Amino acid sequence: MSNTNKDKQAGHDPSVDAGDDGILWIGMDLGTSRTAIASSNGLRANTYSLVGYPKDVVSRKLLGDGPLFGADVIKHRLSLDVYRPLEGGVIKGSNDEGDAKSAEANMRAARDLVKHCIALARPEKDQLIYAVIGTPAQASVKNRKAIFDAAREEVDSAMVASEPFTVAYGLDQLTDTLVIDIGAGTADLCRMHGTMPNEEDQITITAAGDSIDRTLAKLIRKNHPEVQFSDNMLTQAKEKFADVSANAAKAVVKWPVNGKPTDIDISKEMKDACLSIVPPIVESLAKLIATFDPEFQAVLRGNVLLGGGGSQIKGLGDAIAAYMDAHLGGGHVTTVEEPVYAGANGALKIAHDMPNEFWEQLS
Amino acid sequence: MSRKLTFNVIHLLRGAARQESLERLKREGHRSVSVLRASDIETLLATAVDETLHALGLELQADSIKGLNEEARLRFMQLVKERDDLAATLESLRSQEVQLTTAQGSLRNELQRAESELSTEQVAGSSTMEQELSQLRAQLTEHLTGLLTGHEVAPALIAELLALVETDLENYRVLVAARVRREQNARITQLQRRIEKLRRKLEESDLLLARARAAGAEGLPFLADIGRPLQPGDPGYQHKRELLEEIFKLNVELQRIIAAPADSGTPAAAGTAAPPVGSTDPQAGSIRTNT
Repeated sequence: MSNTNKDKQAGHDPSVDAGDDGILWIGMDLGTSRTAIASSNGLRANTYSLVGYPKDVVSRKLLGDGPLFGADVIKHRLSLDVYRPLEGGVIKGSNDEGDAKSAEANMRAARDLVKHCIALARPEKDQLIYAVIGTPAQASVKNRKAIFDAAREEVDSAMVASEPFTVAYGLDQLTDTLVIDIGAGTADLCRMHGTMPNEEDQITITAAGDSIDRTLAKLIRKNHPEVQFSDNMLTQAKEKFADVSANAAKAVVKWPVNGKPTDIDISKEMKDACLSIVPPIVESLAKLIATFDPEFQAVLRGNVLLGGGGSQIKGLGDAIAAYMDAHLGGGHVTTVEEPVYAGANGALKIAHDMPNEFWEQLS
Repeated sequence: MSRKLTFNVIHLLRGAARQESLERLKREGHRSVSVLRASDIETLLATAVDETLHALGLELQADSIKGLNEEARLRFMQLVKERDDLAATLESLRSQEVQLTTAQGSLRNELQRAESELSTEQVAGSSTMEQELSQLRAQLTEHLTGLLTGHEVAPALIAELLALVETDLENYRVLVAARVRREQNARITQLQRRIEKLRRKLEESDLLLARARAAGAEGLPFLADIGRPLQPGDPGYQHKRELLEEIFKLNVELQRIIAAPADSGTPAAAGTAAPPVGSTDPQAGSIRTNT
């Protein structure tokens, strides 16, 4: 690929990009629950990280041959072989766990998901696509390879960057900041101190969206054994009622009891389940703070950035701050303005700021 | 500050701005022009509003700011939807362009064929019939003359008989010619209508094609300006540049490890412990990169 015109402009850093219609920069947050994409043409989109393939001839006739994605999968799930190709923020089977057939099927679903998301950015014909994809802070090489493989056919050049770092970069919070990125599978915590965070600066824990779901299901089964519900109903209830603030509205769901729709108050279970991730998160924060320069620990405590889909739980920032007050002697938590897109926006910013020569070398 | 306000101001500024082609600017001797991006305007407006509010001692309630942000977000989502619709239209126009180009080729061929049929029809028509009648007249005259001469019929009677035949033939010729002309005129009218219709179709497809091409060339309008990329002089340029370089190097290293053959003995390729990329801590089990 040749250097673009902008590189030749006199008086400019040749490696500095000044916009090029022939290139579409994409930032992607490939998440366990949702995948978000932000692109340099101004389009943003997000979808549930679900891929469904018609089960048989009848469903193929009804839904067509191609895979379905996101909300369509939930809608037609009974007619589909459904895949949630990511687990813990990485492609299922990429760590050689499970059987080869299942790993291959998940890889295919991940590829289709990436393809679908890139299509949502509506690239022009012949446009070069440069993408930065967010990965969990501690994803292994195999995990990253799987992500590269999934993206390879759809983009001209790809880079991976840790999700909390992309959030911090997007918000220009690169110094003395603690980033908490709560996804579905994992919560990534990252200490930003002006340089590229290294391994000691990052912690990945599983206290995240899925663990809240599990706890919630367990609590509801314990307190309301007569109620019937599915994972999907649980997720929908969580998305609607997740609130840990003092004046949280009542969480009343209409779920079947012996086949009859019945109003069930799950407010307490919801709050307890959502709060269950606070202690492990703060404990991990404590580790990151305690191993930092003592002179700057207070600054770090006072600058905690909360992002990811999990940060949409109302009042979670305050709950973390309160727990920090009680156990770490204080803390200030700011919830990012756009939890769903914070990672993708940051990844897009990295992609856009990255000199073209770097992209060309990687393509 | 309200993003809606920013949006409106930018919209107004865009409306008030005039467009100059690069060629014209070049002709006028301009080598460079000052450019003010939407993001710059947004920053300027934000600063101005903040300073004004500060100077006036006004503080907006958090709820008001939240409300304004929500309104801007809804507006943005609406714009995204409109843009999606526009993108779908654009795509359909593009596919129409391909279909129209093919259809135009057939239309032109059909038009050419119809025009050639018309000119043949206009030239030919009654001349064939005239020729046939003239042949019939000659044959009849020859046969009748031969027949009557053998039977010693008076020449005056022969002449009278031939004149009668001639008259009937002429009447028949006029009758047939009129009918042929009517048919021919009907055919010509039909052909002319067809040609007219084909020309109209061609014009319509030309128009649609031009519109599809213009839409394709114009592409989709930008909804959001992601601003310019990092440039020297930006706050924290050097720092960010170093971070970007590091991300790049880590990705190069990652790709090198990924590309290494499985039997090369590199821990990453073998899927076992490997020295972490960008880290000095040789943690076993999985490689962790900094990015």
